[in-house]
Amino acid sequence: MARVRLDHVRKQYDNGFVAVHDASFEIHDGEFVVLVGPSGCGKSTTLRMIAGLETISSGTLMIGDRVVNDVAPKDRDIAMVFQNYALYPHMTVFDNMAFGLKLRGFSKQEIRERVHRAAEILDIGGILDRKPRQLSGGQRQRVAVGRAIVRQPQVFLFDEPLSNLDAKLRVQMRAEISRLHRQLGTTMVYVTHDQVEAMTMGDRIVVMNGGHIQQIDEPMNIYHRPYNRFVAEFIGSPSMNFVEGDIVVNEGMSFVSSDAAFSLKLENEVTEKLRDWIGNKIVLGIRPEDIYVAGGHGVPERTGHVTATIDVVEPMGNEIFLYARAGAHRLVARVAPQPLPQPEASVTLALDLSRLHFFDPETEINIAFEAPGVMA
Amino acid sequence: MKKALAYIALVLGTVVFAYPFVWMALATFKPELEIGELALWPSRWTLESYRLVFETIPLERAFLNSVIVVVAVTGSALVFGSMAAYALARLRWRGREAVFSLILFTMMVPFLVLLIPLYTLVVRFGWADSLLGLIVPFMMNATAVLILRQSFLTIPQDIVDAARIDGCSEARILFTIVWPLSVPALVTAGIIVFIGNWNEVLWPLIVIRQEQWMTMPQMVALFAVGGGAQARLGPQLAAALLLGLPIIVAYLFFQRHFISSLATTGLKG
Repeated sequence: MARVRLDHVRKQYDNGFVAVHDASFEIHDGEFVVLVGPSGCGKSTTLRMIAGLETISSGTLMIGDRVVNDVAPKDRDIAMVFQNYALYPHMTVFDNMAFGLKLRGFSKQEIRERVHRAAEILDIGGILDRKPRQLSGGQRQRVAVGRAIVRQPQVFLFDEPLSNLDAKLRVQMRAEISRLHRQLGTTMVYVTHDQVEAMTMGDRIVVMNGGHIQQIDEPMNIYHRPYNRFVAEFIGSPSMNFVEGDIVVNEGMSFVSSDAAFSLKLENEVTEKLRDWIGNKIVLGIRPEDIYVAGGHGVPERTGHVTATIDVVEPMGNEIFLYARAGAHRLVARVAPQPLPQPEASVTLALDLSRLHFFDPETEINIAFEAPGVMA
Repeated sequence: MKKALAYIALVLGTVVFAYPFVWMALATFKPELEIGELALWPSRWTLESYRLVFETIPLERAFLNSVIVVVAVTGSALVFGSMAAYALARLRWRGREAVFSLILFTMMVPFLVLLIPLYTLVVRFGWADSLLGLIVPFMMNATAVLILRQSFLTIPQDIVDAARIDGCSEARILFTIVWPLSVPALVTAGIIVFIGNWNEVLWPLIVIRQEQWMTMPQMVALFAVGGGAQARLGPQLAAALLLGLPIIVAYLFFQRHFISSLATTGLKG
């Protein structure tokens, strides 16, 4: 097992495109770190640099105590699971799993033992003599994981391993990979564009966008204290609501939406941080679950009211998504099941004042964000 | 009705293409005097033509030479061709596109243009009148490189990457992972090189003087044109049939792969 450390790592392609700018972070020994972001954000490139499949333009990459910038993939003591499994189609499941061990000169006995042990962990003992094309997607993915674990590498790398599976299987494999991590205790780096996978699997999450690292933190911290508007928007489904407006002082401090459709009287805790923003443009953010239907179930004590018109109602069974508009602003609320409001009906929404986020409209950074240590 | 017409057209087409060959095959078993007639079936079966062929030309030796040359050429065209194709399809290096264009360009140059310079080179190297003179100039084949490159491009990059992480060298990836996944393309390239090389007459005629190094097509050509057949049609046809036989056998054997390669859409993991 080992830690992985990136120090000002940068990837620039021959055509000048910079896929990763200055990535610096450390993955601790035995940690499960998820790299998440939209497609093209540089997460896969970062993983492939750790794997040695992409060269590093500048910066240092360490696995364990060794600088591995110029070490071939096979000598980095890593194993990787690919999105489309990348099994060798002409080999049986057993041979697929044994291939890496054979190349490393393990004895036949040892190979057999390791493959069977891995097959047992993954419950694929019965399909060892089949070819990949005879397997279902879920089985192929297990074999791909099996091929990685027989090697007992220092670091596991996963490149969107679940995105080719159907929704049900994805949930199941998600839990299995988490269990595998607990069982093996090996350092794992996991790339996904699915924020649910990121939230549920990672010890820590690295959010990336446009080749830049946006935030590195534990899942709940990322969710509740996003560093900037991108992170706030990317993590969470439905996304956080954003409303542009101004901070005004008028019998205490208030937020007024840009078209003056509504205003919210702000709490004492936040006013402190917003003092410099009086008279300035600002972006307010609030998560859908922090918006309630006034007078409904479980509304917190201190709320600000907004009158809105219902656009769409999506009953999910255990909750309801309300898509509403207040003036020019659109708001999504995630509320408890209740008698359904009709589209085009007017509704009073109650916004939890203790759960407001404020972002600088220029830099998009969360104004209330304190904890400089969190950005690596 | 439409279908019937289509079949009639196909049958006619087949007859037009196959008739000369069938006629030739059957004619070799006719007595010499009957050959001029249009009838397909021999009135009396005889191996006289073949007897004359085997009597007058050292066919076994020529056949052996041809096999040695064609196997060496096809084998090396596949081995070296797939190395080049792999580098062109799977490795990133400066000038890759330029080299690929250059290889394509060599396909446009007629062989006749190269005849004299190639001959000069072969003589300088001392390979004239030896099998090396027939083998070395054809060890690389642009068509094979092109076919293999296109096929290698269809192999998912992830499989190649997985092999790299598993511990393969590039050569090992090529021969243990890429080759087994490219059998149809290898067969296609192999057949094309094989046929092209087996039928080659002009080059051996120029390079080889001694009978012991002559290949089969050269020998047959000399036999037919050079008077060995005593102007008799039967033995000439028999020699031609013997020349074509290995190709027909090879084609029938690999037909499945050949067709599947021409119609292939790539492999899925």
